[in-house]
Amino acid sequence: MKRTDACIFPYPRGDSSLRRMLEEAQELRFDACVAVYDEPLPEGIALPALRGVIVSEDSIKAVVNRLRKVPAGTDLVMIEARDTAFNRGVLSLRGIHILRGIHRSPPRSFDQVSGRLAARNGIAIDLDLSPILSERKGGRQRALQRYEDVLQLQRRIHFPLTISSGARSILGQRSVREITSLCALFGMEKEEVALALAVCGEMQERTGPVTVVA
Amino acid sequence: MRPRPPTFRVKKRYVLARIIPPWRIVEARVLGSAVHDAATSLWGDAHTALMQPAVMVTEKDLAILRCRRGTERDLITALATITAVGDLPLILRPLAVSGTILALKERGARLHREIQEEELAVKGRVCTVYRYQGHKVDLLERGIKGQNVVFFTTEDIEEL
Repeated sequence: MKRTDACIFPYPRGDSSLRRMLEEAQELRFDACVAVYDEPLPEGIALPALRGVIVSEDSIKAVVNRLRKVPAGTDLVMIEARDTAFNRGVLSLRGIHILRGIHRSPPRSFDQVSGRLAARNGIAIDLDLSPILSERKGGRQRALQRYEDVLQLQRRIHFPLTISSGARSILGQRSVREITSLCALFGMEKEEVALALAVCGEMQERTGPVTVVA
Repeated sequence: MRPRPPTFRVKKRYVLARIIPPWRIVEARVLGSAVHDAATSLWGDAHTALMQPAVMVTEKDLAILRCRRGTERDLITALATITAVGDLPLILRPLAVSGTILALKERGARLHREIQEEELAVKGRVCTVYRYQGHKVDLLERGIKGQNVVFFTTEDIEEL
């Protein structure tokens, strides 16, 4: 199983170059990373990198329009979660791989109906660890509550989960062991973490590069 | 007061952690305060009191921390939530756990990184460059608004 960090933001979005972040990821026992990166992937990188695109729109129509403009060579398309209706609508679309930013969406915006749609269409829900690392008190507690809620749904409905560091710097990246410890804070078992880290690799092998569908 | 006999003492565990970025010099007292804050924020006062976290020594880019035996996993989780010490971005990456400081000091001696420091002009600005571990390059630019750090490799610098 390829252990993949589901989302990193290299330079210029962050302060660390893609090469450096991949080198750090290799030291942290990862096998690949999904990088939100606009340039062509550089030569001489330490690990395989998947190219990810984040679509952050307020309406389904805008998302569909944006999906038509996804650049060629994109491996994974990620959508920022919003309210209940938006999440359900997005989870019914084709060409989407990951729904992320669940901790920023309103409470109960990801329910059992969304979970079933995600399971049916093979869309993963991303657990971004950056709010657990960088926020304190209310922000961290909200993220932990949301992730525990998503995890309970996942144990019943069995939709795929991914785990990302959401790192914009090498200082935001964490090792597989640290991620396992952090995920234990919201009740995720070691085996569940291992499965979640393998999802991106399986998803990319299954679907291949993104194709324009409309 | 006489010290307690060894069998009556509380058993401790020691954690060896790497300070990243390795060129950042930080005192054990200051680092201890950050560790304590992170542990309290994550686990609360009661559990932090049980853990008894403390920074024993910092040497170059390595730090040795102490906690009560049985709470080392909780300490390591708390260390993962450290993102800065004061205003300076800094993290601690756990490397090993042991029952004695001596074992970690011996291990740490093999893990120290040599750092080369030099001045370099990048895009018309003079930056302090730290090179270590083969081809890792950290650029530190000091300005009026504070420090700005970017983490590159030698290939990235050549492309600049």
